[in-house]
Amino acid sequence: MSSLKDIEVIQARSPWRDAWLKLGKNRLAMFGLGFFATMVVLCYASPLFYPHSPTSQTLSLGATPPLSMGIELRYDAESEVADEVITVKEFADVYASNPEEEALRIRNGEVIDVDGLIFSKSSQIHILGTDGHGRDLLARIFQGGRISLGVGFIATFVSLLIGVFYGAVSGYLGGNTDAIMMRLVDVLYALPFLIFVILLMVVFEGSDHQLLLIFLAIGAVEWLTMARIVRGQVANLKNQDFVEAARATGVQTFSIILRHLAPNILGPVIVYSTLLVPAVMLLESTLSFLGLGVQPPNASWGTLIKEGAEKMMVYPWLLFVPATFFSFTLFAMNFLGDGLRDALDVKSSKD
Amino acid sequence: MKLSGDGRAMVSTAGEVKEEPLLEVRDLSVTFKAERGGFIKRVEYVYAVKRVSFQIRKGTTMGLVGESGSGKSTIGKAILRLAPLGEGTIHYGGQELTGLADNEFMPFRKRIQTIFQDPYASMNPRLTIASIVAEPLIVHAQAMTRKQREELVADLLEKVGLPADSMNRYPHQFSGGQRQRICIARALSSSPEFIICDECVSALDVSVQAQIVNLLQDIQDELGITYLFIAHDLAVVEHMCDEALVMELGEIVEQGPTDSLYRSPQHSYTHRLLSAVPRMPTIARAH
Repeated sequence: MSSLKDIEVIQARSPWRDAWLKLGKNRLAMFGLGFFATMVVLCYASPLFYPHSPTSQTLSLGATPPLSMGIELRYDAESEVADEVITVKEFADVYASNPEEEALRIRNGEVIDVDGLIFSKSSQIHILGTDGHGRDLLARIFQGGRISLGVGFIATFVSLLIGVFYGAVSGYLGGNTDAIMMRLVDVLYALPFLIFVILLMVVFEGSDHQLLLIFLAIGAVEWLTMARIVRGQVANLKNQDFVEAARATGVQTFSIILRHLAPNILGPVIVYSTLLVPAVMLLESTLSFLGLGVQPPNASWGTLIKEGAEKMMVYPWLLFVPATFFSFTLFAMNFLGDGLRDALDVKSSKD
Repeated sequence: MKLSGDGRAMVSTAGEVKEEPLLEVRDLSVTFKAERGGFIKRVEYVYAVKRVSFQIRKGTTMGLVGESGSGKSTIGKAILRLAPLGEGTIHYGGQELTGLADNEFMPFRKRIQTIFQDPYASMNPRLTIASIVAEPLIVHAQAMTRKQREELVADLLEKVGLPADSMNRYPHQFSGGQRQRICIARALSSSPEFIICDECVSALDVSVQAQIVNLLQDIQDELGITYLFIAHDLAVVEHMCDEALVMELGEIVEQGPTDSLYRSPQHSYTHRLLSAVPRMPTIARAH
């Protein structure tokens, strides 16, 4: 009997399990999921293990290219901490008597003494170089990622809440209420987004809640599509026979929404949310690029790209490195969203 | 079990009818609001069902035929309050339903069940067969334990001819005929007295139709359930029903025992309906 039960369990494949298995077979989507998860962990956990702080400036190490060596300078051989950290170029220009040979010796780990000043190889390497103020670029990217991903998640979550609620109410009630609610959405759609944001920023200029304003501005636009999607789904579902059957047998409205409507709109909502995260991040970076978004000393991937773009002729890595991180994350998220859409599509999974 | 030939005409006086009808519908009208025109709307009321009266006796099958849009499904929905209640009264088991508050109506939702037309749309694709069949129990038999429910569901599935291990599967793993069997099991789960079969075989292949019709008859023989059998297929209605109502444009144009209705239709619309069925004369004689 128990062995028979086991066989039944194997045969019973829920639509969710089916979708998960199908997603597992989609390599691109799984790569997207893996990359995105890694990115999230790196950004949020980096203060725990990454030695450089995103805000500590070492002006003498301004704009060093990726993987370049830093040289520690001590005025006194006994001192524990380096008095200064300088670049190889500075060492060659200012201190060295025989730059090429001495620099090579430092690179090989020797401690050398030039006119009473002690030079040694810095143990800390800026893997992706530093920006114009000598801040570690990777640390800045992690910090920017926290804000970019945070904006992506929070704004998506906010638009999810508003959109699902608004759309569900509109779709379930139908009739005139539905018509009025959806016309309001149409009106909001027609609002030119950038002008709206610029106005918002001008009105609240110098406010401490710049970041909050960004959430507000993005959330105010992005819930519209979600509301439309949910409204369409609900309006379609509530006339389905199985909802009618539940109503005929006396299931309460709340249970109908929970048992019959919610599981059936969950698929499209998940898919759209996954695609909304990169869209929101892109929007935030657009705002930041235009100088309307995150303000210094905070950074987001948008502001990093902006700063990089200003200096791309001289220090190209300041543009390309954050841009690479950004676009790969967007790609990953879009791949995941596309994969989820295919996996959750009931029509294509039939038989 | 089938009462043939002795069906009493609905016009018979109360004295002649020995048993109380299970369901008595009197002067039922259902109207829908229709808005015409663009910006400035004109509201018109359209009769989906117009002054319909009939009775169904316990343990019998009442057929309800008519073409699409004749309002036959609306009658079924009006009984269960899925369509807006218009004028008229509905008595069920001697009690008037029309005046009841929604919570007072709840016991009747247990006693009256429905089987829908489209076996693909009438089950939530995200639920297992067990939860679909047990749904009326969750509402109406809250005292039942999970295990009791599961046992009952297994019994019901067996009764409708499905293996008990179907319980853990999902609707998309079944064919149309099997799904309709599941819907029948769901309708039976609250042990109802009356089932409204709303075009429940129309979407099925002919051979599967026969199986489902026979299943419904077997269940009637066993449990004494009363059916309101809504269909547009006259052959099925003749096979299945003791009496029949013919509807046209929301009104009942003819009613009576199936045999006499099919042998000598009085109304021109019934004539036309019957002549639209290709093999009608042979079937009528064979019966």
